[in-house]
Amino acid sequence: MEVNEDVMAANKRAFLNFLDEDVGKGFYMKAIRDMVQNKRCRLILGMDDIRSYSLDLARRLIRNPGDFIQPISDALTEVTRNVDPKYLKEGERVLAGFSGPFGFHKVTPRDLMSSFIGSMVCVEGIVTKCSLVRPKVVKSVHYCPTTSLFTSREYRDITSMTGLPTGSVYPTRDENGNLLVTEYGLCEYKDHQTLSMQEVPENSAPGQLPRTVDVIIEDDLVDSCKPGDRVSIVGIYKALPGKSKGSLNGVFRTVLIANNVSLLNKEANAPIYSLEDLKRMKEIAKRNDTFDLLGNSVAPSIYGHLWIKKAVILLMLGGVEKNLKNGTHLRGDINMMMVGDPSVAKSQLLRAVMNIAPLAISTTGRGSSGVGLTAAVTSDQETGEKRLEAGAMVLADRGVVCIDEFDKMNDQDRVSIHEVMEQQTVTIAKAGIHASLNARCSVIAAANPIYGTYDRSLTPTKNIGLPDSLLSRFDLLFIVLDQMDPEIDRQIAEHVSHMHRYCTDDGGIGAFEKGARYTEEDDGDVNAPIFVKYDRVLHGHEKKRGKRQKNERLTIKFLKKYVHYAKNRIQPKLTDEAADHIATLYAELRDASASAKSGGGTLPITARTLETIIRLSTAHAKLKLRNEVLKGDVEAALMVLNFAIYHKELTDMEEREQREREMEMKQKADHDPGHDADMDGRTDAMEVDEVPEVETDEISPERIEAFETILGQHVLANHLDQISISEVERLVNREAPAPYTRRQVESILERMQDANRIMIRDGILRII
Amino acid sequence: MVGLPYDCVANPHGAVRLTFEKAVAASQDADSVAALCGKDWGAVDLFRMFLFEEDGLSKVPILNKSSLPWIKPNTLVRFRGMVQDMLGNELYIGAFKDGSTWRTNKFTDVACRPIPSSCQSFLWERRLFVCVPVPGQNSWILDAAPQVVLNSYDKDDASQHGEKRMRDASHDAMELNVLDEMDSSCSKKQREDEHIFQSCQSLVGEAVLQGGMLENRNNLGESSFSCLVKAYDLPESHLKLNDVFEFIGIYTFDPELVHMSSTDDSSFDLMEDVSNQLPPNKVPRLHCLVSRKLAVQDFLSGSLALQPLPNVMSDIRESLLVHLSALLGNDTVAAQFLLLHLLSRVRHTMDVIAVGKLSLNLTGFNRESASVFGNQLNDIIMELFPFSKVIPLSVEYLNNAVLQPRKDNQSGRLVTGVLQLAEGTHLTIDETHLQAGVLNSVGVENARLLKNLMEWQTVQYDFEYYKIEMAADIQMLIFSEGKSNILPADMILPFRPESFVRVKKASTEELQAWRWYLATVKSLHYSNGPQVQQMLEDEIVAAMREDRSLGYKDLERVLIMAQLLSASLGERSVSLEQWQKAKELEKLRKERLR
Repeated sequence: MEVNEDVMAANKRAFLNFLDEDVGKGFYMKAIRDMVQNKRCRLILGMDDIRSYSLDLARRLIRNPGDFIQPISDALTEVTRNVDPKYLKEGERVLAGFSGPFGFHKVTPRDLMSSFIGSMVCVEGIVTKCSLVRPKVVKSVHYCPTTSLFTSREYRDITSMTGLPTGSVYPTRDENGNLLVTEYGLCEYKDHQTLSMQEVPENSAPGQLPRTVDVIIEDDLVDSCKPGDRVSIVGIYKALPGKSKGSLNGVFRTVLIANNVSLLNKEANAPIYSLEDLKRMKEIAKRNDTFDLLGNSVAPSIYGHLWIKKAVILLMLGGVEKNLKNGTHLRGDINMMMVGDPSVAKSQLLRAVMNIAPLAISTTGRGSSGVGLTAAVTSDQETGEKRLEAGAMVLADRGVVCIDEFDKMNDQDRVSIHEVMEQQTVTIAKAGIHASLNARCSVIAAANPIYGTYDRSLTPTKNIGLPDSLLSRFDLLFIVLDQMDPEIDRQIAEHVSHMHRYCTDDGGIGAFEKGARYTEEDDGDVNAPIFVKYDRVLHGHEKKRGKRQKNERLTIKFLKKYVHYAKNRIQPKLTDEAADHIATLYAELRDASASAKSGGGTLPITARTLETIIRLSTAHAKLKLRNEVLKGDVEAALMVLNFAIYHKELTDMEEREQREREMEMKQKADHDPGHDADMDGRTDAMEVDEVPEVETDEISPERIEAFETILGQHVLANHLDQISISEVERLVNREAPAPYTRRQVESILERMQDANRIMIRDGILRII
Repeated sequence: MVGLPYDCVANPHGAVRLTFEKAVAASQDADSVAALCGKDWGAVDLFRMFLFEEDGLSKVPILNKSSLPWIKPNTLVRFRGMVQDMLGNELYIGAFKDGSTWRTNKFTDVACRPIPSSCQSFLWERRLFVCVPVPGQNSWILDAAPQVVLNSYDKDDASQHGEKRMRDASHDAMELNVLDEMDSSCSKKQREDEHIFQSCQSLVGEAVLQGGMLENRNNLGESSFSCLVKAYDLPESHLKLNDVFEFIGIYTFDPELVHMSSTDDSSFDLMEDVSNQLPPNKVPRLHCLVSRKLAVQDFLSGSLALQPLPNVMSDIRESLLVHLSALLGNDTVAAQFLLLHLLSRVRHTMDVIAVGKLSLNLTGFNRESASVFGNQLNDIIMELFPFSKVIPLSVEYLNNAVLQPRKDNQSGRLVTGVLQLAEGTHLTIDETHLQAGVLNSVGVENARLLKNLMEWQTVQYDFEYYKIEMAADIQMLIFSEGKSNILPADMILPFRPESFVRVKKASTEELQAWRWYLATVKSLHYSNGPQVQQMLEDEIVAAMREDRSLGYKDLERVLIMAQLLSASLGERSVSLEQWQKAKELEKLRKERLR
């Protein structure tokens, strides 16, 4: 022990020096003062601070924490006494906890090998059980009535940092055999609790069960976590002899003696991005084909449906939500729905989302009642107590809800999710409980058409068979159909046969464990390769065909990181240019939908569509890791939206043609905007039979368009849903180069009302 | 102990010690011992040589419920079972210096001599697994296992009874119900002789008598026989949950330890050692020396050594098909589909899709036909596969059964569920018992589990605070009246028996040939050359042109069928002929569906 004391003293000195230097900024002095103020008795020291003070000290601290904890605590106590002499009572001391980067000493319960014994580690996991908090005697004081002497005795066990553990024998007689009376009031106790911590499921290796480690927490740390919490615990890993005497069977048990417990929130299961990752993310964002690349990386086992996959990417990224001062909440989450024939891989897409999205909860329309989706008040059958039960959408707050078989849901349940989808809250007013729960989630739903299979002779809305009020809450609605194209047939054939050939090559019993789902999780390496290795057999001859560079795909692991980074770190703002563009496009869409006879689009074009464009553009800007939404983002968003609304399968060629057509269209639009839709090939949807010029000969279409643009912008910028006509007049005349007369304004607005886009009542127009 | 200073079977510790001393003898310093950590010093090699080269394997007794009372502690045994739970690592004093000599504690629970209180020692690690007999294992694999002559006792029949008891254990209560029903059917007389259920039943009485004696030492239920395997120096990925392994190692039993565990102080009430719940007098300890993963082939009796020649294969295939169609009342189409189903397995998982599975739903059953044909089919499946299970699906069953394996965080154990099955288990679900009724939350969850297993070949394990999906490879066969909506199978085929003939029980030779055939075809690696690939693509495109309603899933199914058809003939790549045949079969199936 004596030798040790020298070491201890040296360590204490070293540490006092560290505190004196105090990172050069008085950081720890402030921390100590805060600690005093908050009446706490534990100071958390950053490992990086210690490391930058002395690499050697940090290294020794991690390797041999037993030699340091006590001196550090002594040093801290001393400094604290200097800061505030009255704070610590006699015998009280300041405890030390550690945080910060632990390098390879940051482990999961699985990695805790015997080599870590005696060193300081940082372990992450889920608390699976907690014992009761029990007092543990540290010092007992005994009084002997015969001799009138007080004797005291200290107890140490595995958790104490100094000295050897003592026995737990309680003295009842002194050396001379006189009876002792325990003075309970003078004894010292400390709180003591044991936990079990289990490996987090994301880290568990394929085919292995999660490991568990036992943790002892004491003093102020007790009750700092409860079962189910994800925590990161810093502590000393120790081995203690088995309960049956160690000399007999030589088996040891291991425990972690904690000095710092920090709760990890939902975010904490987020991937850790290294600098290298960030660099590569930026590289990818710079590429021209970022969108295609990411889209292709989603669910590679499903052939085609690139647009839907792209939409899935945008959905996972989401827009930016806004909370206006007046309390209005504008959702940033994108909702989408897929309707299509059975067996077109809808469910598989949902499952792919489950695998990639950071927080995803899946449910089915049939299996969950409205309660299962939103929330419910239930009463306990035995006690009769009322409880609030959160449903899938509440649980998926800030995440994604996948709802399969949306059409199988009954009407009541559908009504109950109306609120959730737009307002993103669940309001409960029942049985004396009034609560509003957040449910800020994206919904991705899959449904079968109303007649089982998609009837091409009917309009999309008739096929879907869901009420418009609900449909309008979906930003995107995809009709997933079997594709009728020999070229596509060929590609599917290739895909199917290659998938099977690939797997059969692999053979062997263990083959099915090598699934991509697992291999990606296998590599704990932060700098894992980001592209899926090109496998000629798997990916076929696509490259040779030279049609599309489809062989490049991101690994799921990297894709997850990318999505997480882009979703949470980038909050793009709308630029003026983009806003103008959105307004123009919106007006175009409105026109198109108003003039199309049969309502060829899948979704009604409403003000919500406008929001949709903003959200999609924002998501696309996130995808490019830009902090501004540019015109290009709007274009990209519109392409997705167009695809969704007019359910077109656009092959590359068509796409290119379409782009050309769009260019043409734009040029033409200058001369004859009324005919623009005709120029487009989208006959089923944008066909304009009657050019509305007839009714409005006095106002030129350009002027109408300009008017609508201005109005649209205004509505967009201020998030209005109603506006008075005189205000509209003022507005357009302020913005427009040539003034509109009141009559002109009214006639344009009437036109808009006819097109069911606005409603005019008592001089107030409401945007529908 | 002639020639060698130890006997590998009777005194394995001697061999361990000897090799250890030899390894240490080279130098006495601590470094050489430290270097032995996590490594084998020659002991395992010695045993390997003894077992596999000197043909010692047959001398090693098999550890099971019945042999347990007779096997002496500290002898070499082997155990075949499924890894049911993983208890994590255990640290032990691997080597210590007793005076001037190094001693080791490896492969033992108790130090050979007391460890001095302060001495140089090293902590080593070993992994603990709880292994159980493979759920649903069929009796023939026990019969096929080579009999071992035990020196300590020569009650051969006793061990046989024990095995029969094991077989008994493998039938759960549900199967016994089936048995009752079957008995009441007219078929009783004819089956009498070799019928497994019958023999089983006749043995129940005896087994109980035998059991009474055993129960003194092992008062656990039949099915709960398990074994705590302590494995050394294995790479993490070597053993996976639900793997079927053969462990050869040292069986230890120490009466002192039993005593110790019962008198625990409760200073760390929470941190109770998990293995304490597995008292050594009930759960034997096995210190594993050699372990190997078992494939179906390992369960086949060695006498049959057939070459996978095309003509041999097609002969066996033919005889199996004839037998199957006879069992199915001469429904040859159903027999073909059944054969394909029996040959299928999950070959690979591509992100979420399990490629190669081919579940079959035979519709058109009613209660009577299900009990007649269904039982016949179940019987043959039990004879053909090493592991199989039957689930009679009913509302009551769904509401009450524990299908999902669940981690009990309080005890730290994984509580098994019906769906914790070994790879390659055949699962028959009889839906004909299903009546209209209300499912409770357990029932909904169970139905979902079954559906997920069917569609994605994964089973969700409940870990209280989260769920983990484990990949599975279970062949699923469903009998139902109409198309099963709860369990959407890959292939739905209305079953049309023409006649009901009592089928003669297949001979042992036939059964052996069929088992060998199924195992061989299943393990066949196929690969399609580029030409075949091109041909298939053309064919798929042509098929799609022909029938616009063909979806992605249909194409996949036909492709799998074609592949299995080719494989069933021992071919390694799909031929045009088999593709056509698969299409033909699919057409027949579609016609029936109409």
